Amino acid sequence: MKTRNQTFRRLCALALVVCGATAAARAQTRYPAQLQIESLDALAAKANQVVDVNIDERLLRLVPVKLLANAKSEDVDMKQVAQIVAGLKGIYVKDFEFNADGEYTDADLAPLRAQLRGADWVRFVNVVNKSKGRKIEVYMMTAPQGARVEGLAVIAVEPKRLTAVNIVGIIDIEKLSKLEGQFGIPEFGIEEEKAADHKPAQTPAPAAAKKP
Amino acid sequence: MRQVRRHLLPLALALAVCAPAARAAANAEAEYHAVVKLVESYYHAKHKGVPTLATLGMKAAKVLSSDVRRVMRYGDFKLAVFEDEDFTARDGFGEFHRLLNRTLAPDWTPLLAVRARDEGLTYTFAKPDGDKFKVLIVVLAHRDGTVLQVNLDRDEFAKLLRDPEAGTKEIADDASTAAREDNE
Repeated sequence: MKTRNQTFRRLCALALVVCGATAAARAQTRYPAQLQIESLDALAAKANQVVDVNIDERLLRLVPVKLLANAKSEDVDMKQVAQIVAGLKGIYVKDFEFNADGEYTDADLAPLRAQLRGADWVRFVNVVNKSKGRKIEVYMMTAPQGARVEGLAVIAVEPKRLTAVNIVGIIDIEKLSKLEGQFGIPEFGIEEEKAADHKPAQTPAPAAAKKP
Repeated sequence: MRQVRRHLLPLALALAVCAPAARAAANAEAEYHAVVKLVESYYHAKHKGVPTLATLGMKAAKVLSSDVRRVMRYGDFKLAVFEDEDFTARDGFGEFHRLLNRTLAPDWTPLLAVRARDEGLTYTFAKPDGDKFKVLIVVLAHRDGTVLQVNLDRDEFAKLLRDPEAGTKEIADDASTAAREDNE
């Protein structure tokens, strides 16, 4: 009798474990490089237009990379996109357009910037285009040993527009521009802006580029 | 008692393992209807079904417009239309998004949310369905609205992921145009 009760308890425990494992598998993993980009959500009330794109790992993994990269097989760029996408675990974009200048302030960005001041994040591009009133900052998160980039964040601010992009996963930072215009990521023209900006772009010299 | 227990245990275990998958399949339609009801209750609106489009598969004998044919590629196709309602009464972009998330969790993943003051709200959710994908789109303009559920194959779904905003617009436009033509 005792043995049967024990068996019954064990089977119940097993059932609970199976249920728990299923639920855990369905829950989304939050990676260290995944920012709480929703900290910008309050800006939606002020914005004239809001675009919120959320392509998580579950969606990315469901479709073969070659389809995501739209492999026009001869197109080198698309092959590069395929390589980039293969390492990604999520793409998150929030894009706000405002009717007038000054409808958002640096204070609105503070919660996002606070996350990027964490020890693992390094700002490696900071392009200011004074004529357009545009500023683009690109941050990267490196693995603890610093060997590879595990996530990127882009903050692009203009007088009437604010865009935040968080790309989670292993990515070659030199190929970031290949993702512009895809997966809801706006065309920032980062490479052009960098070229136009006569300040030397602070390419990955993490320690030197580290924000205080 | 022991015999009952002996028979019930394997059954309980089987249910525990299989229930999520079975529930996901069974809930697909229920979730769509739940979203239609959510729009109705949140905005105090009433939808119009599109019965003829709901039976697109039975329309082989009818001469179909190119728009309807285009929509037919989406396979299992559900559409609810809201006409002459006031979707500006509540500025609930974030709140409504949260309610949609709650209604569709955990099987559906939010893919896109757009709020344009001069155009309205658009929400897109997706979930895998065998080797296809179910995509649920809610479009609420100032006076009209649409709740749409389609099946996409992997190519079409990849296209949607590559450009969620344009892809959503294309699917919603195809469906709305086809629905209008079909009702004329």
